[in-house]
Amino acid sequence: MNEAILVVDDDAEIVRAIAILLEKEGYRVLKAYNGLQALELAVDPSLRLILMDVMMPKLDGLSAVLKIREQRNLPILILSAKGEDTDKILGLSMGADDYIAKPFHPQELVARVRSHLRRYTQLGDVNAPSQKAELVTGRLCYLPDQRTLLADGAPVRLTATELKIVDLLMRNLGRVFPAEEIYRRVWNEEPYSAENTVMVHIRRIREKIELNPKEPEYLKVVWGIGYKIEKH
Amino acid sequence: MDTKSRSIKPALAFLALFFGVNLLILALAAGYSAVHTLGWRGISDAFQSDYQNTADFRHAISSWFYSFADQDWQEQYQLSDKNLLYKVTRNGETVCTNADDLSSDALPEGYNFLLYFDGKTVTIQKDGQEVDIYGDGYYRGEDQWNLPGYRNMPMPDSYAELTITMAAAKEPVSYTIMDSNIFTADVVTDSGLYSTSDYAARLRLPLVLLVLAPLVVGTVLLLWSILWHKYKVRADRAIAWFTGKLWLEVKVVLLIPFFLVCAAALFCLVSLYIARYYTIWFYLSVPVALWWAYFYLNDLRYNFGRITAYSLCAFLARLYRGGELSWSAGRRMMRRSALQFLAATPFILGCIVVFLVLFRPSLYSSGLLLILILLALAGLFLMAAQLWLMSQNRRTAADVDALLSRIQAAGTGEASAAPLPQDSDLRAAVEGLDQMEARLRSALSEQMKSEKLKLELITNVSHDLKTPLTSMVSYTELLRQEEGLPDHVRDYILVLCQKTLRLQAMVQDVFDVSKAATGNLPVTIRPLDFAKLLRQTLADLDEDIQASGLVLRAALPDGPVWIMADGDRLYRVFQNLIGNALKYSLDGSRIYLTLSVEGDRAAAVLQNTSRDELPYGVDFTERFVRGDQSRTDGGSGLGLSIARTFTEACGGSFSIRTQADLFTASVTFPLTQTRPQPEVAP
Repeated sequence: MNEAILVVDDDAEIVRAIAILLEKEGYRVLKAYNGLQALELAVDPSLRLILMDVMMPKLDGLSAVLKIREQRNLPILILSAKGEDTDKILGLSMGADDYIAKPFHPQELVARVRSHLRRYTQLGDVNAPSQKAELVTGRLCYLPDQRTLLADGAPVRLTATELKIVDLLMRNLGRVFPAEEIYRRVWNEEPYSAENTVMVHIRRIREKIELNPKEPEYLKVVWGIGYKIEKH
Repeated sequence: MDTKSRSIKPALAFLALFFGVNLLILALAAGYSAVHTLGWRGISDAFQSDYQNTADFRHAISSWFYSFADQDWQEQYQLSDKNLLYKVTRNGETVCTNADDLSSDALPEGYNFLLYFDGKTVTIQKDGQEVDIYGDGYYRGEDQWNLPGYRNMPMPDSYAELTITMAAAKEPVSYTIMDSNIFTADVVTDSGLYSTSDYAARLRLPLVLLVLAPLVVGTVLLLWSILWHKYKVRADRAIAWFTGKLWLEVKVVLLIPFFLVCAAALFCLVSLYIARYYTIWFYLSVPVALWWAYFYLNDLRYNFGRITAYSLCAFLARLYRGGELSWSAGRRMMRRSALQFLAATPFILGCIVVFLVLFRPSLYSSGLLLILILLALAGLFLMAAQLWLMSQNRRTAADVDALLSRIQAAGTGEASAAPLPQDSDLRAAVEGLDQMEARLRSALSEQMKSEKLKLELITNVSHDLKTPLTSMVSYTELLRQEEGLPDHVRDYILVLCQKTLRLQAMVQDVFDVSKAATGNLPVTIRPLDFAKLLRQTLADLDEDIQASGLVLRAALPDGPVWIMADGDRLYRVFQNLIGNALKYSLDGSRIYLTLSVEGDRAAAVLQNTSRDELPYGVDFTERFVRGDQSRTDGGSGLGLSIARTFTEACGGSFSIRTQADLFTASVTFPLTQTRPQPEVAP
């Protein structure tokens, strides 16, 4: 495969480890150790995705992202040891597509890279208008007519109950449903031990759609209220 | 006791005392005058039912006796009044009479008193009974019959030829002057007996009204007031309350009329002795003085400590001070200096007077002139000095205002105003204030800097820890993916994997606790259902609970329990608490989770039985404290610390209690009336 990924980090060992992990997946990896090197390598036409550290000598990651965004339209994922929400928001507002906090789990990193690449190649431009019949949030896309949920463009295999829950939550993106209401609408029965039953299904759906089921990005619990699928 | 009788009884007690004393005074005064003017005899006569027993009657009869015995009267006058019948004979021949058939043997109808003089002695018969006239034969004053025949009152010789017969009516009737006698000026027509009988009757009523009745009623009232002493005391207090409101100055001024009234009263008492009488108004001074004195003494008794508090001076002082407080310090000083100037005005006026005197040469000698000139000069000098003082004070006042505005500016953190001039009274104070302000500013910025440094340190340390950790996680993962390794190496790699994961969790925990401890933990407080949160947490941790082999018994209310908190943080709290309980509970024991609402607070309590003995006197919410000190099991030792700091960051309170092996953690939140906004579906 010719898909190249640029990995930028001032810690050479981290760059090496990421390179090994990605090469195992069949990607070609370009390595840079500061922002300036990253700018130089970013012109490579076969480049499909960039993994960028924030705190680096010479040119920091966020400035590099800004510069690269001027020329290239490709997924940029930020890697940062600063796990704060404010840092995340800052990174995303600079034009990054995703934010991965260090220390990340290697498998999650690979999953995220794969997810972004698949979306990038399938949808083409991230800003391309979506079709009307689709309900899209981030990497999830629900086709109500076919009753199909796509994650990164690939259909997710859901059981009938899981699909009903997804159908309810995707049709009402961002709205919080108490477990009792989900139970009533999905099972068509008076709720009994709703919290446990719903939670079990939620957990299973998460394992199918989330990149890191322990820190879900889409199917979220609103503690003390209910459940929702986040609108991205 | 109801309020009505509470106010009435003291009033009645006081009125009883008031009227009792006044009536007694009246009775005493009237009684004294009566005794003084009438004598005891006169008073007892007034109460005689028979007028013939009175001294007046004896006096009248005695006078008429001498009149009838007098030759001039016998020749010139005649008594036409039938209340007294008389017949005078000389040597058996009738000289004068108003009743020719009057004899000593039989009295006419309606007459019961007979006096018969036979030329030697007088005999009197009353209702046929002989009356003892002479007693022991000596005459001693008006009580007795003033008739001749006593040993110390010998019979005149001329009386020897006379016989006098007199008869007095039992009930004298009012005498009407006959028409024919109006012009006969030389005829005495009225015996006066009717007025004598009437006088006693007329005297009776005033004596009863002015002496007896006041005496009796006054005594009764006085006794009543003594019986109601406790109410009277209350009345005294009430009166003292009213008199206490009176300014002291008024009381002092009122002393002058008081002393005048006292003098009048004293004069009255003396006048009784010297038997000079004045109008009734003059005698009123006695009770007036008495009651006036009572008010003074009563006031002194109950208001002694507060005498000066209610005075015009104190009132004016309070008024002045009260007004002064609302002014700025500068204005107050200005006011004071104005007063200072005013205080000097009498002296200034004095100086003016002195100047006037200078133009009246008759008023001074040359030595006095010198003194007056010196005084006038001194007055001029002092006036100038006062003016100077005033201008100085005015400047200080302005400085004080400037200082105060600077202090205010320092308080609100505004920029300082221009410095005061070098010679200002308050320059030192202003400089001190500036230094204080500067020090405060630097201390504040130091503190902010150190807070910032602390946060930076945490961030940096966590970054420095996370970077190598990233490598460790990545390479252990790579190792794990390596194939064809011997089994014991695989085992080592597994240990490495677990420990890196734990290290990662610990770093995150340390980071969270540090942020919470420095107040940098962002929280989103929203209304949420505490019961639902616990149910969700239990559902979320269901797998772990099942795997632990322990039983978790939850007693949660069915209805919602609304509190204000950050759901994600609170989830962490219970995740940690339940995780802790699962980790440290005795195998096969039960964990109890209850949520109860008490008053306006909701309390979630988690209880479990510890596997190991719990050390005594350990604060489990301290950072890095665990039940066992060996620290070989999983966990960072920050679980409870995180639970506490997160709970407190959400506005709840967290407490741990251990009793023997029973470990109790409770998380309480105040209930809220706020409900979540329903999120509308797009």
